[in-house]
Amino acid sequence: MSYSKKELCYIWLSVAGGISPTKREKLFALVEDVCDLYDGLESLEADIVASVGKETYLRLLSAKEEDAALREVEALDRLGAVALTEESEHWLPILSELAQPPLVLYAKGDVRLLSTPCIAVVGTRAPTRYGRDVTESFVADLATNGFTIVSGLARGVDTIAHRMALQYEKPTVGVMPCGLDRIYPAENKELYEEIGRHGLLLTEYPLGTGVQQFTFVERNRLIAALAKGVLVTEAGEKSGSSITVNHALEQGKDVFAVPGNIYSKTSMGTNKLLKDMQGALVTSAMDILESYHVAVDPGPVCELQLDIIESQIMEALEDGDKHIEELLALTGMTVSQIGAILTKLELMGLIHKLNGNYYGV
Amino acid sequence: MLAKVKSYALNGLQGYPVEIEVDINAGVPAVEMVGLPDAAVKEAKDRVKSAIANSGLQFPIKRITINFAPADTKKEGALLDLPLSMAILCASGQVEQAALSEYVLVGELSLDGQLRHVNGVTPLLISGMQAGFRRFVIPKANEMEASFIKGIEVYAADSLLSVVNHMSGVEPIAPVEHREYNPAHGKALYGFDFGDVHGQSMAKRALEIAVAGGHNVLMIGPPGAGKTMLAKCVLSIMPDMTFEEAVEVTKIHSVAGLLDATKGIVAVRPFRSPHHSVTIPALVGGDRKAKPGEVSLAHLGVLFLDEVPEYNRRALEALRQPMEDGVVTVSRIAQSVEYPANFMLVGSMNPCPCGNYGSKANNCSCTSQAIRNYIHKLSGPLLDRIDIQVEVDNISYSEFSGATPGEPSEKVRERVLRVREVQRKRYAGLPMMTNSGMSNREIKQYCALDKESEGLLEIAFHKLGLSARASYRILRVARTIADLEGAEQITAAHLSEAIQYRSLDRKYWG
Repeated sequence: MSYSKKELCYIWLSVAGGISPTKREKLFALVEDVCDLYDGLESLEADIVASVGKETYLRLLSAKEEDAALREVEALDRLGAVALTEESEHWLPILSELAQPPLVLYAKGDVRLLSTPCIAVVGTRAPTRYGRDVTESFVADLATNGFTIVSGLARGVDTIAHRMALQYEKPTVGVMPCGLDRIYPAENKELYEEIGRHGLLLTEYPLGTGVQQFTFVERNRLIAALAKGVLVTEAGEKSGSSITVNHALEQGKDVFAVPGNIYSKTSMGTNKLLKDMQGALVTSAMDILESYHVAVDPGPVCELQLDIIESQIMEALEDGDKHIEELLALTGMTVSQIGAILTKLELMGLIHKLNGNYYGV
Repeated sequence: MLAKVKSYALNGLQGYPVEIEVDINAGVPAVEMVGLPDAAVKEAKDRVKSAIANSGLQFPIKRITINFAPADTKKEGALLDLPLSMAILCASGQVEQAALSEYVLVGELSLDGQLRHVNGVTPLLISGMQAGFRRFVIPKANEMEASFIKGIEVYAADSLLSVVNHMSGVEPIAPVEHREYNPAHGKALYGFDFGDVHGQSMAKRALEIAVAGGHNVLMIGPPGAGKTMLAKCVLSIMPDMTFEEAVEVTKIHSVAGLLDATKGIVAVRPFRSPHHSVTIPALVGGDRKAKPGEVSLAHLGVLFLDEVPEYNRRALEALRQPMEDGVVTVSRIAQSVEYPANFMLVGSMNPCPCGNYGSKANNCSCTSQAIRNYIHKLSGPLLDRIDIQVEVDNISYSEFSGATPGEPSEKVRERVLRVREVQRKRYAGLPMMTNSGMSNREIKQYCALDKESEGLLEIAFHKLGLSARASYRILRVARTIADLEGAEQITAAHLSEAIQYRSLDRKYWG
């Protein structure tokens, strides 16, 4: 991939590192264009040192002398990744309107996904079974009705959201809190790879950047920026989701929240959100789809022919999760026979095996 | 004067003859011992001295030289007390050498001349018999052990004096009467029966399959769900031990000193449940004396590991070799000893560190990382050797009006026996006894799938995210399920059921 001089200059600034948005603004105040900053770096030394300090100047200088931008671009090519700047075709205008706009976005995967309708799904890192179920069912409905699922690749709700989208072979965008060559959390390696292949991985950090506390916060503002709305499926009181929600509100995005058990600690965040803004309440993905005037796709009509026992089991499970003992009592079959039927239904994608020998639709 | 007496010593389960030579000469009174005696043997001279004196016999006040032949193997334990004292008595002319020559003697002496119980009599008698010896003198306390061994004359004496009187013909001891072996039912040991377990249909079915096909099982469920009770029920559906099996187990328990002296034989399959703080030598065998470990004590029975992830990781890894080979090699300083260790592993674990993961009633407080670390304490290679993983429920069955009453163990056992018979015929002439032992070649031969089943397996991999190594295990279990149904060919239904027993292989656990 080839980049214009201006783009390379942006990448140079990005890889130089240690340049906060405030410093960046000060630097841009000195010159008209980022290219002028690059070309005239040495001659502007006195001004730059006076405005942002000696250290930053030296960083910029060494990045320039080492041709860091070109090397970054080469490394990105090897990874099959690209760098996006406001010069790029796929750059979203809203990104430049952010209070702290990203300089460069590093992307791996299908960048066209940025211009599809996106919805962010976020929540706690330790979801309960309820939170898991809610996330799965909302994501399934949103993904199959044309929404790209955006989330932050963290443990818990984020991971479930990405996985559900992938399971339905629908697009998903993972916004990373680190460089494209890093993986956090480490156990999501496979998920990263799958999203890289079938979705889009996005980050504003150059290669080699590890996670830091502030990168999670910064990532959340990007999640909010990319999406039309933010859905919080389950969140505790001090959840990182609240940061995403605040960003979304600042940016004028929609916020949706699913109510939870009032005694459950992991639902305190979502419930509080609902108390503060009643419009956010959603109880099914249809509520969100309606608010965006999306015609609901009823899904493929089930043409599978089930026999009597199978449909009996399906009917029972549609009323709620059932334990295998209940199903045995209901159908009067042996555990061996029912085991085979349950596997069959599960493979058809009609039911799920839950933990503790429970089954559900 | 010179005297020679035969005895026997043990190296692992293998006995070897020891000849004790005593020479008494004129000279400064002293006792010299040669031939690698260990501390317990060296101390024998003091015990022997007192025992002889307290039996009303004479300990010679002369220069006594004692040699233990063969001179190059280390002699251990106190079981040489009796032959040593008899050799001294013989050398000092108090017992006839001719009378002693036909006997193999073993026994520990107390200071008053009484004979004490010794460990390892069963393997010792069997090795001696195989080496061609016919007459043995053992302590009375070991009498029961000897009563099951055919083809030899065993005399059980209660004191040194009675042995002397037997040899001199003053008061001959009658040989130990032979007893017939009666297998004891596994239920007898713990009194647990599947009939007493309500609900838990999945777990019970899984255990039935496991026993029928010789598969190892891992039960996953919260504390208090009844995993230990289910594990103990396993014995009640296992086939009775044949006499040969019982003797094999008895040998190990005899060496370890765990044999019930009043029974003399282990007639019920062993159930061993070492605590999770168990050390590697205690688990697989070892220490200075190369004692058999829990895996050998569980030979032909059940090794139950409660809360598997709590065990020392290295101890768990040490299980791999015995699980693969059915024997464990214990190395000591001079030589290595092999013990059989062909056990069925029944493990139990919580679904997560707090135990509530996946529970409907309680919220799990574990992070997904904590759950992952917990599960990953079981290494892949170890999980590879556990064919069946089943979840055990933590619910009160009164919730379900229709909870199935338990089927009595006896009925389950009948099915198990039938399937074991099918496998015995199938694997005649092959090294494995059960479906769990099938290697890739046998799997190809005996687990051929039809088109429908093959498709099913492929979908299962894709949909359930099963790991690649799961496939052979599913096939082995499916073979057993087909056998339970008396089917020649594995069908899609058998395969589907087998897939149910792969909880941990699902990619998204935790």
